[in-house]
Amino acid sequence: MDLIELKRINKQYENKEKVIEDFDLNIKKGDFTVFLGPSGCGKSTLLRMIAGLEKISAGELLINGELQNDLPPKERNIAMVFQNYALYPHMSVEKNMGFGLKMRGIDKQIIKQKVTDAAKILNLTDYLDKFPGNLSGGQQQRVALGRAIVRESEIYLMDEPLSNLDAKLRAVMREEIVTLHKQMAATTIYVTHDQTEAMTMADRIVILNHGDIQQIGTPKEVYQRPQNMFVASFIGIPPMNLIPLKNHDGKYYLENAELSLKDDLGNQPLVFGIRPEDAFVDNAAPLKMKVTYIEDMGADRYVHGLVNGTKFTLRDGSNNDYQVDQEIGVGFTAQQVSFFDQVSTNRVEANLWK
Amino acid sequence: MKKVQKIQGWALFIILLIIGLLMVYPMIWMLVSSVKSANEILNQPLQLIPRSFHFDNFTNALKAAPFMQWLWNSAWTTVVIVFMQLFFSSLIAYALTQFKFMGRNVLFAIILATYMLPSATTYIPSYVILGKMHLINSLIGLVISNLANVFVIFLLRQSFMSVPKGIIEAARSDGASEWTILWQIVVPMNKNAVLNATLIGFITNFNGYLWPSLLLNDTKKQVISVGLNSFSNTQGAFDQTFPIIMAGTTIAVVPLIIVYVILQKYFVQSSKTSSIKG
Repeated sequence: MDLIELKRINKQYENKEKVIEDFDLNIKKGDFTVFLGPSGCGKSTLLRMIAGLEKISAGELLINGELQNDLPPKERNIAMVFQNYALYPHMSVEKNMGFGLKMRGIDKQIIKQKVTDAAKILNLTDYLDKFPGNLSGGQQQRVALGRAIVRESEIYLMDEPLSNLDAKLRAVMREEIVTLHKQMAATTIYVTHDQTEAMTMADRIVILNHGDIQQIGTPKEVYQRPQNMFVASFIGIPPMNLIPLKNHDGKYYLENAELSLKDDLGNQPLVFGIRPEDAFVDNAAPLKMKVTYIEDMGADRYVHGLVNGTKFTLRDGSNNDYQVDQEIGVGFTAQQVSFFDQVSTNRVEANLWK
Repeated sequence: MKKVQKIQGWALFIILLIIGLLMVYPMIWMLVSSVKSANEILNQPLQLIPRSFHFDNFTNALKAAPFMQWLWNSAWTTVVIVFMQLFFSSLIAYALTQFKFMGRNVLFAIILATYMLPSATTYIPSYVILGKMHLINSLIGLVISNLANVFVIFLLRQSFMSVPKGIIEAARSDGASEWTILWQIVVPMNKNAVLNATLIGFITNFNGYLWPSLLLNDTKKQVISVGLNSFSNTQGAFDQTFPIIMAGTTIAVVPLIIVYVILQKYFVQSSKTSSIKG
C-alpha cells in the first residue's frame, strides 16, 4: 500500500470549469515527488487539497489507507511550507517554529528541545529571539522550513518555497532541502514551475498541464524519453527541437533528407524531436539551418536558427565563429532522437537505422 | 535653499504651536481654575497663574457630591463595555473576513446600514426593551445596551482583511483551531486596530451623556458625565461654586488623560511591518 493515494480526484470551484478532473496518483513512502507544470496547471490546488486547505469536490484522498477527504488540516499529519513563508509576524523565530507543537499540546521543554535542534540544522541558532521582519528572505525561508521539520510529520508539502529567493540562494536551499529530506526520511511533495528544481531534487517528477498528468518519471526519464510534445518542449533549457516530418510514399523526410526508420509506421504523421545537445554543426549534413542568434553561456554555447522557418537550437562545443544569416549544416546523434504523433502529440516508439 | 526651508519650518512650528495652545487652553483654564478662589476666577483682567493655591476645592467637591462613586460607575461600565465590544466585534470581524458563507456581504451591508441610523432613533426601542428586561435605572442595563458597536466591527473587519490568507492557512495546518487563530494570530497581528478601538471606545463611553442620562435616575447610579452636569446645575450661584465645579471636572477628566497617555503612541501609529513577501 502506498502512503498517499489520490483516486479520481476532482476540483471544481463554484459554477466554474473543472480545474482537476479524475486525477489518479500514488505516492510511495519516503519519495521526494515534484509536481511540475506551468502556472495554472493545478499543481498548487492538488497540494492544497492534500493539505486539507482546499475541499475535494469528488474522489478520494487516502493517507495510510485512511480516507482524509473530510478531515480538517490539523487532523492530518502533514506539515506545509508556503511560498510566501507565512511566518507569524508577531512571534519570535522560536515561537514561530514551536507553534505547531504547542497547538498539539506538546510539553514546553520538549518543544524547546526540538526547536533548538531544528535551529541547529538550519543555522538559525543565533536568530531564535529575532522577529521575522528582521530576517532576510533566505533566513525567513529557513524558519518556514524549521516550522515544518519540528513537527516531524509523516508528510511534508512544499508550495514553491524557493520562488521568492534570488538564484544563488535558491541553489543553496535546493541542496539543503534535499539533505533535510534524506535526513528525515520523510515523504515530500514539492510544487514548482522551475524545472531546475524539479530535475535536481526529485526522485519522481509529475508533470502537469491543465490539471492532467502529462508524464510521471524520474528526472532522467522525463528528460530523455518525454511521453508527449508538451513534456518535450517544457523540460530542458533550451527545450527539445521539434520539426514535423514530411511523408511521401511511406518514406519520411526531415526537410530534404530521407530518414530511414527501423519500424514500419505506415503513414502515421510524425514530428521529429532532438535535444540541442544531441545536435551539432556538420556542414556535410543535408539538414540546413540559418543562424539567427548566438547565445554564449560561458560553459555552453547555443546556436539558434531557423530550419525552413522552424526554430532550431543546437549546442556547439567548437570554437568556430558563426555569423548571423550564415547557413550551416546540422547533424545529430541517431540514438537520441524522439518521435511524436502529429495529431495526438504522444510519443511514438521508433528508431533510426543510422 | 536650506535657509528658506529652515524659515518655513519655524513658521510651521509657530502656527502649530498657536493652534495647539488654542485647543488645550480650555483644559489649562479648567486646571488652573480648580485651584483658584472663587473671586480670583472672575477677576479682571484674567490671570492664568493663581495668586494662591486652594487645593481644598477638591475636598469640598468630593464632599458636595459622590464623585468617587460616579467615577467608579463610569470606570467599570466603560471597561466592561469596551472589553465586550472588542470581544464580540473580533468574533464577527473574523467570521466576515475568514469564513465564506452565504449572505456574508449582505450581513455586512446590514451591519453597516445600522451605522447610518442616528443613535437617537434607537433610544426609545432600546429603552422599551430594557424596560421589559427590568434593567431601567441599572448600570447592567447600560452595559447590555452597549454590547455591540458597529464602528468597532467595521474598524476590526477592515483591519482583519489585511491579514494574508497564507498566515491563516499556515496556522490551520499547524493545527490551530479557528478560535486559537483569532486570539493568538489575528488579534495580535492587528494590535494597532484593537488598541485604536479600545481608546476610541473608552473615550466615547466614558464621555457618553445622553443615553446614560435617560437610563439612570438615582444619584448613586449616575455616571460621571451625567453626575457632573447635575452637580453644576444644583450648585446654585455660579460665581461662588465655580472652583468646586472645576475641581469636579478635573477629577472627571483625569482617568481619560491617563488612558490617553498610555495608548496615544498606538493611536498615532498606523502602519506595521508584515513578514509576508511577494
